[in-house]
Amino acid sequence: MGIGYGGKTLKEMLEEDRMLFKETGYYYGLKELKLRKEDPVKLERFYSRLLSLAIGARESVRYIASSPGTREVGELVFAIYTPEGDGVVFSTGIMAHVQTLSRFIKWIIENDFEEDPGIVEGRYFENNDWYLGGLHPVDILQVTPIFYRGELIGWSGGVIHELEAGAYEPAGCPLSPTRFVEGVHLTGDIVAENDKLKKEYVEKMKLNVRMPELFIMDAKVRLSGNYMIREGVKKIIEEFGIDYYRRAIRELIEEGRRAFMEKVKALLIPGKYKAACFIPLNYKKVDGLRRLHPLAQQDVLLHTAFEINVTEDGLLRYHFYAASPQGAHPLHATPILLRGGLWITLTQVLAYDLRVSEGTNLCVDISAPQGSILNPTDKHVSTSNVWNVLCSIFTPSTRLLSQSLFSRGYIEEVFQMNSNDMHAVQMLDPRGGLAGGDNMEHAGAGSGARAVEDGLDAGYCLWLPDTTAGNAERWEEIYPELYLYRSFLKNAYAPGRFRGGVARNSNFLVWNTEFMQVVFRCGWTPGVMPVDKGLFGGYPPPTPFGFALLDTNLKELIEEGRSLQRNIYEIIEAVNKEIKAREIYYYKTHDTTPALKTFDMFGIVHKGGAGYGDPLDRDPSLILRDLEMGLVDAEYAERIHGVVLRQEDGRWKVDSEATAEKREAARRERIAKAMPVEEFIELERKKILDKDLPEHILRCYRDCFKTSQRFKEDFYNFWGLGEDFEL
Amino acid sequence: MPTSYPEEVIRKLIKRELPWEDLRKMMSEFKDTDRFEKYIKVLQELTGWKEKIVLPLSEHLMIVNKDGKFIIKALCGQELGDYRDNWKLKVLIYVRDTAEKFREIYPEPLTPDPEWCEIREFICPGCGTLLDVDVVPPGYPIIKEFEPDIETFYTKWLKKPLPE
Repeated sequence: MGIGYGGKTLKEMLEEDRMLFKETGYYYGLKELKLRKEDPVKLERFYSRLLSLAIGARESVRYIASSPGTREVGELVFAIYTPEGDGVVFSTGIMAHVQTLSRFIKWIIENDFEEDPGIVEGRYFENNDWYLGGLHPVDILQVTPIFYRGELIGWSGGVIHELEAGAYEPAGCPLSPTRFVEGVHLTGDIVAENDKLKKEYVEKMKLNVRMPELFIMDAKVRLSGNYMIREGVKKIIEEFGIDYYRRAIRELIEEGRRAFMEKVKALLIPGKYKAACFIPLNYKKVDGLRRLHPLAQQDVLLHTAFEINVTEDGLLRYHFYAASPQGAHPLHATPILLRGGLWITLTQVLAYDLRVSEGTNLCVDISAPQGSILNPTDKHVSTSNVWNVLCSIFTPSTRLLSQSLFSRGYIEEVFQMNSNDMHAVQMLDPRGGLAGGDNMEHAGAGSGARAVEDGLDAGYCLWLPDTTAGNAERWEEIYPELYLYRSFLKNAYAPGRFRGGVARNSNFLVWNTEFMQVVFRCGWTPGVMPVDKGLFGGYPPPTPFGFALLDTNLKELIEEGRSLQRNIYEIIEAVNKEIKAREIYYYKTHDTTPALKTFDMFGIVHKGGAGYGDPLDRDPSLILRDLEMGLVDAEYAERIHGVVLRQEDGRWKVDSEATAEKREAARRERIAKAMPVEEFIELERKKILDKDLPEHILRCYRDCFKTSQRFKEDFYNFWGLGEDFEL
Repeated sequence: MPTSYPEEVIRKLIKRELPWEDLRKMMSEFKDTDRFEKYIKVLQELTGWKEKIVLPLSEHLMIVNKDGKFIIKALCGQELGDYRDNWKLKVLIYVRDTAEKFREIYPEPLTPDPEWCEIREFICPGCGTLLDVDVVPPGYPIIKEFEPDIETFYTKWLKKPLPE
């Protein structure tokens, strides 16, 4: 006797669920949407009640938290699932978990938790392990069953991004070369009974994470949200009846599936879209990492290539036909985790007015080579920096969807994303031991350009739900870092007809600590290569940057009442002149600083996203606006955009005649400087034949040949290489 | 519910003359189902081409029907061959592969590293317009990013004959 419908076990229900879709092509075999037909208003009312419940839970319980990541940046989500773990409704929040919670519930079912340890009301399970559907260890997934009159009728699930999870370094995305240094793992653990956190869980977390107060409060947030949903669902059932509930949740999912396909057909163009993605790991300079794992000693360029097939039926088939082999680094995903990245983007650029559920999820297909970074077979690999992988893939994926929207005429919807450049800190806790975690101000970085306007300068990060940098004072409360400045950098954007968001620079004074380390995730795209290209002649964004100055004279400068440098340009200029420092570190990679102490200084640059269109087509009035705001100077405006500016009576004006001439000349100059592509191919081919490429790039290509025959064939065909040639 | 905009609105959108308030409203409202037809009609008028536009590819490139063949044509009149081929192989290129060339675009210290990537600028041979900018490691093939299924789009999705 199972705990599911009519005495079925959950495993039987899951098998039936899968079989019905496979056999009929409709979710749960629902060819007809009877409830919609009979009383659409009632079904809408039902849906609204469920949605309000999920959103209401999120918005109520986030203020239990003391972590600014939860309270201010809103790094949490709640959702309601069918008994088999299919998503019905989601709150706002981190939409990456549309599938991860679903996968976790299905794992619980597949692994016979119904028998052992048992699924009962008031019991809460947690997971952060990628093998069970977790994303990276700081995203803690919690689910609890919902029973009605003795029958399991669904699940409530919630996820919160913790500021750290006890890895060897204090960051949300540590550079863990294997799972053994990823931090604390929860692998379907029972963390609460009778709606109360278990004592052993609380004690375990007190010892295993750096900020236990924040972590435990977040666990209470998860539990409270799930409790609210569970009890709320029961009230909805009392109102609508259990039979209606059972049928309606399935109809809503099937309806969501059909609506997504219609949306694709209404907004996109069918066909094939292709992109190549890269993640440079310039590990050679990261000393700490080498000590952690003997294989994590080399510069590695990770590569993936994918094709999106927008089918006649309105489905999106993502085929990753190339991907680097799995390895000793934290940059792995799985097809489930790829769905996480996909849904966080699709909910914002395509499905923003749809009801995201298992139904929409069924419209997407993802495949990736086995044994690769996107489909690892080694259980010990790490996904602790999976976001780097997802940003590198779904930034171009969004660009390709924008290509489609443009071709269809929906110019106002074209959008380009950005990846994130973040920092985390580790410091001595005044009460003893270490504390630390992420500073998530990168949530307020700049976006890529749209087809109708510039990228936002500070206030967009598609990857995070509430795009705000958070109040500086709140971060200062929990970390020993005082903000010196948050400022925009001049001429630091992706040029285009519409430019990407301007790079933003935060500089900090280390304060009131004898030990602090800064971890740069610069960013989820290290500073040697832009995360993605732009659209239609727009440039890629600049690359991120971090620095640290040790044993400085800042105390003296402050005591003398001197004004401090306002941005990274001025700081670099002043180093070894006005600013004295015993040690100077500049970072263009994922790295961790040496020990810092009070009056040391560090900073980070958050870049914006890519540009759109030819920079010579930029409206001169936009240049003038940027000039007045200090975001560009006249020399850069003339050199990059061909806009000639002159000062008259202390005000800048556009010289329209000179601008037209300058732009015409710039276009002629481009033609004169360029070469036919055939000529370039010959030159580049020679480099390949001579193996005249950096070793890490040659290794990247060779490695990908092993996991993808198609990539090898494409590569050899393009460069005209003989079969006997070995790279 | 599905709406429809006058051609004049679509013309202003294409020419980027639509006021922000209207643009914002357009983003928030239900999408107009006849957008593509009006989009093509306005583009046809703006270009003044005798060839029918089949599908816009970018700000500067369109797929047109020329004598029964679908080819890619630039706004300046330059033709770039069959739409199924990679147009990037038929234009001009300028490659930024040194720190000095990167610094022309990006200020220090926000410059990429030529040991890891190169920036490839694809330029229209007809008029010098910058058509696309790729960033890839040296030695990476030039990929074809978009191959529309024009027949399915017209006949199955729009339920219209292919443009003649």
